[in-house]
Amino acid sequence: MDEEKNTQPVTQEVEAKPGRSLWGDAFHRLRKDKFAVMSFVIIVIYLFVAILSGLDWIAYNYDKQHFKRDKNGKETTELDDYSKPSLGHWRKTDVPGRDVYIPGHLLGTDVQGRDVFQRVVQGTWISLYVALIMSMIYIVIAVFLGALAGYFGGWVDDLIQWFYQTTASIPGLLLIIALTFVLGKGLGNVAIALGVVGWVGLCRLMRAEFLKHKGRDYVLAARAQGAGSFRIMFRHILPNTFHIVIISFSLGFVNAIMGEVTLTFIGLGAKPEQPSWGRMISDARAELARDPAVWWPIVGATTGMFIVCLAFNILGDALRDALDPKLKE
Amino acid sequence: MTAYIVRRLFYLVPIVFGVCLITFLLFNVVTTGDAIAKQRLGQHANQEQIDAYKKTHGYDKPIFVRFFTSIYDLITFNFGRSEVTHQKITSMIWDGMWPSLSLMLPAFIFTVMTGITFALFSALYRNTWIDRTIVVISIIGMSVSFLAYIIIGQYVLAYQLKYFPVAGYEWGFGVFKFLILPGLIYVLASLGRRVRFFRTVMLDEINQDYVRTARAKGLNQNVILFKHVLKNALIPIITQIVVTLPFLFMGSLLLEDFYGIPGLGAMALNAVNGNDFAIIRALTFIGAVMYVIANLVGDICYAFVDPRVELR
Repeated sequence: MDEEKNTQPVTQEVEAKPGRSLWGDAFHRLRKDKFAVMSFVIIVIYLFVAILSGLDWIAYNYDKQHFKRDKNGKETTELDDYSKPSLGHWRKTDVPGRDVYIPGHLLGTDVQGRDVFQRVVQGTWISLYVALIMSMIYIVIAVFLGALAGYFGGWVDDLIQWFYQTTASIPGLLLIIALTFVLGKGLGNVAIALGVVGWVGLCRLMRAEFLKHKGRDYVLAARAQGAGSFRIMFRHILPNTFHIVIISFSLGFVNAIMGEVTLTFIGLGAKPEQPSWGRMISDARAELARDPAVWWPIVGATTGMFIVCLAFNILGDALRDALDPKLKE
Repeated sequence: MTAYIVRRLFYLVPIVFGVCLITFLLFNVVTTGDAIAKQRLGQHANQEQIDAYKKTHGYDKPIFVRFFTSIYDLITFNFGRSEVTHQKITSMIWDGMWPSLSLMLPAFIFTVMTGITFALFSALYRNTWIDRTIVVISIIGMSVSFLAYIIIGQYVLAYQLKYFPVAGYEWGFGVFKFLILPGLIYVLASLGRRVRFFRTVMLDEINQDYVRTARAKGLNQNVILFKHVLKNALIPIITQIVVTLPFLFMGSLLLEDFYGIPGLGAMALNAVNGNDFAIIRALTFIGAVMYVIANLVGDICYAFVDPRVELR
């Protein structure tokens, strides 16, 4: 989103001010970008909420949500399905000035009377869980293979290039489907499949970076001092190319969240009782067909997803502009 | 030129072999015949039923025999029959391809045209409010789930406002009315990503030295943009388009399911729900082969379009 700087030739943007590291310079540039700062704050809040709800400290998870409060504020087992969103209301009592506030459901309730807002909050944890598993898998595969291919070259490079070209050839969604046939259904397996499929792009970039860096002076110096190949690759070159991993992680997060939705709809991801955003959007197909239409679950889940995805998209873009302007798309 | 094409064709061999290998490993080593038989026949299948299933599907033979028969079957496009409907898979794919194409091809062409137009506007008015608005709307469009576009679009435009039929398909020109809404939703959902990519490509070109030279010798902005920048930007754009073509054949799982279009996407979804391994295997292989061929076509296009490409 750093639009003001595009009038300058791109290459001049990379040059850091003297006395400031690449990261310091990038941080300085990011801080001036209002949208990036806002996105960063949103992402921090999102992570905070997701972890708290993952720990069950906020937003009851699905098996604790099977209750409703009766008019006296006590829990009952009776469920109020598909109640409309409301802010709650004041109930008149006989004593003046002692009216009782009955809390409502901010985003209504779903088919089993569970609070939709709490389910949207729970969805943050599920999306984080899927995205983290996926990222861990694809980043490890991509960095390791990219490093080997770029650093060693020769037949190792040929073999790895063959491997990623083959993986790229197979339609991603079908490969994921085939993998979940093999691994079984469920959110964890979907996340693994997304990771196993998603490494090609980053691997290509890492290979190019390692190829570029392996002839640099600092690598030659390290080798002259007797450092082994793996030490050079992962202690010397990797830190210098790690910004690419971070950019890829930020933009890959969106893919994980979107992927979960599609795969859950296909029936491979979240189970019906799990409060994932994909589950809530998928269920809306039947809920909107009801009379009157139940629109609040899909609106709630889509809004939650939209805010998080928008923040990651903007931050990813800003990071890319700040850390590596040459790396566009 | 011919020598170049022949050499590129030889590059395909290892990739197609790799695709065969991965498909084979997925369905034979990572998961075993027993596991597949159990999923197909249900949890309560007895041992005889499982053995019979394994025998009819060739899982009782040694692994090397299975590997070579599977490669032979795949490269001769002999995919066998569906495990659910028992139709021939090749004819199912042939029948399903046309509905998918009829939906995806016009929608895709429209997306690319609109995308390039917006990107040109963005590049022409770069760093003004026009450019910024286009970028912001693109990113907002990219942040909404495709499924939400489909469900909300169908509900609002078809159920509530009744501008379009809710779902359906027919052969012949009457199909047009069924394809407008899903096509529109495809365009909406994918436009943001395209605009952003095209804009990046064009801005990269605008920052090149030859543009500065052209400007220095006094050419006006429009001539530079349309004659110089667009022409050079077309190279990465063509790559992206060519690589997307196979996906147009394969259709869209979600769109076809929601709008009742009997294409390959809907077929894949049915196969997933019915545990039809044969169809998933066939679609995976055909998709991969089409992707490889599309890449080859893309490379050959370069050789024709761009005199700088070396025919090594």
